[in-house]
Amino acid sequence: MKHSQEPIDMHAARQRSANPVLHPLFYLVVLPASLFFAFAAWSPPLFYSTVPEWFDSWQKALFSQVCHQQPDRTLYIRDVPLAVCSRCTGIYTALLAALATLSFFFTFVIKVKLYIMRMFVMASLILVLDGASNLFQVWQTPDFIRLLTGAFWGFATGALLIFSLVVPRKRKRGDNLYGTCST
Amino acid sequence: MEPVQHKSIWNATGMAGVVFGFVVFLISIIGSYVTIHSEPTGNLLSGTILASVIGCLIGVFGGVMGVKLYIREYGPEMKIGQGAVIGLMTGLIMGLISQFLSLLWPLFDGAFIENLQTAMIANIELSDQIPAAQKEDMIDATYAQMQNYYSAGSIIQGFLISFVTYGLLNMLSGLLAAKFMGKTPQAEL
Repeated sequence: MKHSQEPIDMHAARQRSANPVLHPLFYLVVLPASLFFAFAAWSPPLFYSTVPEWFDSWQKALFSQVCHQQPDRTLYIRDVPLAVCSRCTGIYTALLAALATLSFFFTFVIKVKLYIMRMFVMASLILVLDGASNLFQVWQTPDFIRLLTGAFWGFATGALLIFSLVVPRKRKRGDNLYGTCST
Repeated sequence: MEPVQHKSIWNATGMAGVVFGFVVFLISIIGSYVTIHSEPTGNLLSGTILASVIGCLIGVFGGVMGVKLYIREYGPEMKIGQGAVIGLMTGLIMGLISQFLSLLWPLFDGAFIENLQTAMIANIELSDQIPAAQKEDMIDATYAQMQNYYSAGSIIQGFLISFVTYGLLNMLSGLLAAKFMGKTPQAEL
């Protein structure tokens, strides 16, 4: 009787058998940080009642290096602007929403990674095109459209982060690579 | 027996942090001078604000550069967590360098703070985005911010904000760079 002597690719077999999980960084840093930034972006109307108070707030200072915070391009709640412009509001809100929801479906996310990459590239192009056109006054989009373009990018970034944070789980010592075998 | 190679992240993070910290500072200072030398238009989107946003967009790539330098030094095998740490440390160094240089700059140009304050207040005065009743308060707040440029509270706040924004953003970019440029080590499987 002739037995086949195919070499066993242990690495590939291990990769196939490992269960994917989200890296602890997701729960310890990425999700809490995204929650904090979304809260900070939306919170000024909770704490302040006038524009000068908002102007001097820690929320405005926090985002001063990442957003232009122009009052005429910012959403208002009870006559107080949010801490970031409408586009960034969309980004932070959709990022949190994407991280929170897609963390339950990360096995699906890794299956559609190609679409996520394409979505991210497309969202980035739209964001840059619309942002630059607004900046150089080629055209002016209303706040709602800015919010949507930001939300699209935030969602795509969230999906990309989820995909990046999925890792194969470490195998415990003694785990049988090919399952248990009883005789 | 082969000696165990100790992989230090400090060369990569130090170099990327210093380079990007300097770049971010340079963009910010150019933006400030654009504000100072422009005619006030009433638009609150001044060169200073625009420069800090552009600087931040460029600064995000510090984490990517840190990971790239690390890979060049030790090869592509790295965990995602290592990428995140490299990005975080790069961001912290970047924030430290850019803030430190921002504090030093007015020593070279003695009229810098006063000129910037005058330009910013002139823009607020001409702005039609702010109700007239609230302009005075905003002008007072701007004046107070610029007068407290060297106060302990202002310096600490500046460093903290830089650490949080650059640290977290570069942590994410380092993490993504590790995922796409690095190779998962066998031990993580």
